[in-house]
Amino acid sequence: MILGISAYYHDSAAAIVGKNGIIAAAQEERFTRIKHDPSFPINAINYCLSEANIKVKDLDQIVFYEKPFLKFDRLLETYMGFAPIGLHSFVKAIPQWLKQKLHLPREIKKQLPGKWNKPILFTTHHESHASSAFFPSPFEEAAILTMDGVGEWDTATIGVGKGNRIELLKSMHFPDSLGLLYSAFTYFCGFKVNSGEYKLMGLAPYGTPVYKDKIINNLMDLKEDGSFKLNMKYFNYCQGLTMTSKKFDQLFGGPPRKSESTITQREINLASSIQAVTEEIVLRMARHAKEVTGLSDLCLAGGVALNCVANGKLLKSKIFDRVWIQPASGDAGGALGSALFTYYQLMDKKRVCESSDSMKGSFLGPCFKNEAIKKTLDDSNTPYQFYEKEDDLLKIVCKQIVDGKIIGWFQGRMEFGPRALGARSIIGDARNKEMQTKMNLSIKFRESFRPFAPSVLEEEVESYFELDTPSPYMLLVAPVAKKIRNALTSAELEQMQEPDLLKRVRIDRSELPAITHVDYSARVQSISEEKNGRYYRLVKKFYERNQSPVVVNTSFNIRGEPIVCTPEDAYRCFVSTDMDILVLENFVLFKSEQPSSTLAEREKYLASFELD
Amino acid sequence: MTKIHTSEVKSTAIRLLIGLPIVGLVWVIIIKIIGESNSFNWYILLGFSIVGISLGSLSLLSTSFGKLTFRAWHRLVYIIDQTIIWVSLPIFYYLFFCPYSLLVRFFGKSKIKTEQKQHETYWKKVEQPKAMRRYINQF
Repeated sequence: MILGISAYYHDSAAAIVGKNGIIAAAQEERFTRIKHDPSFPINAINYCLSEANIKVKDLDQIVFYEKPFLKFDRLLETYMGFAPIGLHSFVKAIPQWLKQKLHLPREIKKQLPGKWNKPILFTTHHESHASSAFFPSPFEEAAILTMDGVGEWDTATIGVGKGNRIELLKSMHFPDSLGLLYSAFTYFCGFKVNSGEYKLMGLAPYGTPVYKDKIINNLMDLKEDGSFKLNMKYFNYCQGLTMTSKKFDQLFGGPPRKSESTITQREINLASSIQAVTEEIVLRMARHAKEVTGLSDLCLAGGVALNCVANGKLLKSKIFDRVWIQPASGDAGGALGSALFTYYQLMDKKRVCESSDSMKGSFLGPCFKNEAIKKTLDDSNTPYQFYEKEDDLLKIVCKQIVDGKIIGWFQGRMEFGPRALGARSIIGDARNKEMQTKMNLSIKFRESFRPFAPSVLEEEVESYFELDTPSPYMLLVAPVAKKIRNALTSAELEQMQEPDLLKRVRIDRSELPAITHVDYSARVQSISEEKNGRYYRLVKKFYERNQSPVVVNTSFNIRGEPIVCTPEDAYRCFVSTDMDILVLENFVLFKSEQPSSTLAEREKYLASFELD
Repeated sequence: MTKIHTSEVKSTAIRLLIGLPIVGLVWVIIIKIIGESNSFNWYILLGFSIVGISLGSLSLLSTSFGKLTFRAWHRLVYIIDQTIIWVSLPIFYYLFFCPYSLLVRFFGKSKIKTEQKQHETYWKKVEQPKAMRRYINQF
């Protein structure tokens, strides 16, 4: 069995792979409750080993997801390229490398929960991404496209996967990076780099891409094949502690927006523009990947592959017949990719393609049985109701959803990757007009403009969305079907010009207002009995009773908090928010029956997570 | 503030208890060698030992005091660490790293090309791995 590790940058994770495929994978943040935790993933490793029922000595190999010396080489070369500018960044970065990152085998062996005397293997960052994209995919042969911020030197790669092997053919190098370009705009619009990119994507549909040409003409030399060179005079990420330079400020009419300040039309249009540029580059890169490989299917990974709007456009473009995207496309997925690469390519194990994919729905994390939950609840004298029969449980939950209640849904194994897919989710009725505002402001405590995603029965996807392929991992954005859209009145069209985004959000655009974004798009998750089990049956029951096969599905957490992992995490989040019901496997907890938490307790809980 | 484990408190207490008297002894020897006096100055050892034994034993006896000592000790270590870093690294940066970097750039050997030289494509061919050994290496 192979243990893959990603750590020391952001989103540390561990994954274990064996002859039965992917056995377990989890991100460290879920255990430590620190969002994007970069520390050594000891908890995730312990969990993976316990799931595989083995100890460290039973492992065949341990593999790290990137090559630290190459990364250090890039770091030094970057400082050399800009010296004498860059002292502050140099002094901040170098000690950590000297103390820790240049001694990774020692550091890993020291922290492993057991003795390990064999060498530790190191794949390259983009080999890990490419492997995570191809090996679990349903394709025997496919083109691979990886795009992220930066690994060692590579920022994007084109490759080929065939059978149990992958081969990278072309790459783009630092500092020319699509991920970093997007992050630069994320920073400039006042969001946190490496976590706020999603917000920028959500903001984009409110604006118009008025800066698109300005970006392409000034910031880069973009080629027809999707490759580009950034004009580094506009950026500061090589040598400084910010992403953009003064010249960037001049180009876009002023300094970066301060975090948490009002979002102006400039930021909205910038979000729209960089989104349009990103889509343009992704499509060009995909076309080039098709030319280079001549293959009809594509696998995607790397942080940029989490841009589900671009993914949706790519799918619609029909450049490739089929597209499969790794659900844990960020650096956490590198742990899985490096383990899969070692298992298939280095150990030459046979790979059998599964008809959908071999990610097991991305439900690769810990699960908690009814007995364990009962003990937890009883020990803390928590009031609950137990429904032995699933049908009874689903009936009561369905009724609550129809009544406009918001449900914390905790079932089965935790998801691997940034999206909640129905194992650690907050759900509600997508037809409810107040749902988006209520969920954003009273449950998630996050920005009002952010849209929610729908979970829809796989067999009903085409009836409600303009999407002709399953989207089990919520990685594709598609328009809602025309037949369920509402035409806007002249008063509503006027309301769409309001600077207050909350007013724009409140316009009912479709029969499913809670999940329809301002441009009539939705980030779709299609659910099936095979992949989603009880969650599918819940939505199915909801459909049978209420003629709607769609529910709102958002991650079970508040702003800045990692998605909940344990029943205790779920309960804490439940009592500290305005969630109405918590479902922990077969247990149902009603807020009205719980001891009421004080305002101080709530505030303490909210304050325990740094805003992202 | 991050949670401090009892094991960490204990480990720091033992280090203070044993470590500080040893540090005192080392200083006694150093001062004897570099100083002008012919005799050992045992007061240094005594001073270090009193501080180490008191802080160490009190930390072992009382966890809350131990946590306080742990925090203070690590704060002190952090300040020393940062002082060394902010003194030594800028010296290294400006005396050695910058001149070397300027030379590298002067001879056109820098891998980071900041000038806007146009190319037909910015895709580069990936060199294929020649041996499995590559995966044992960190480079």
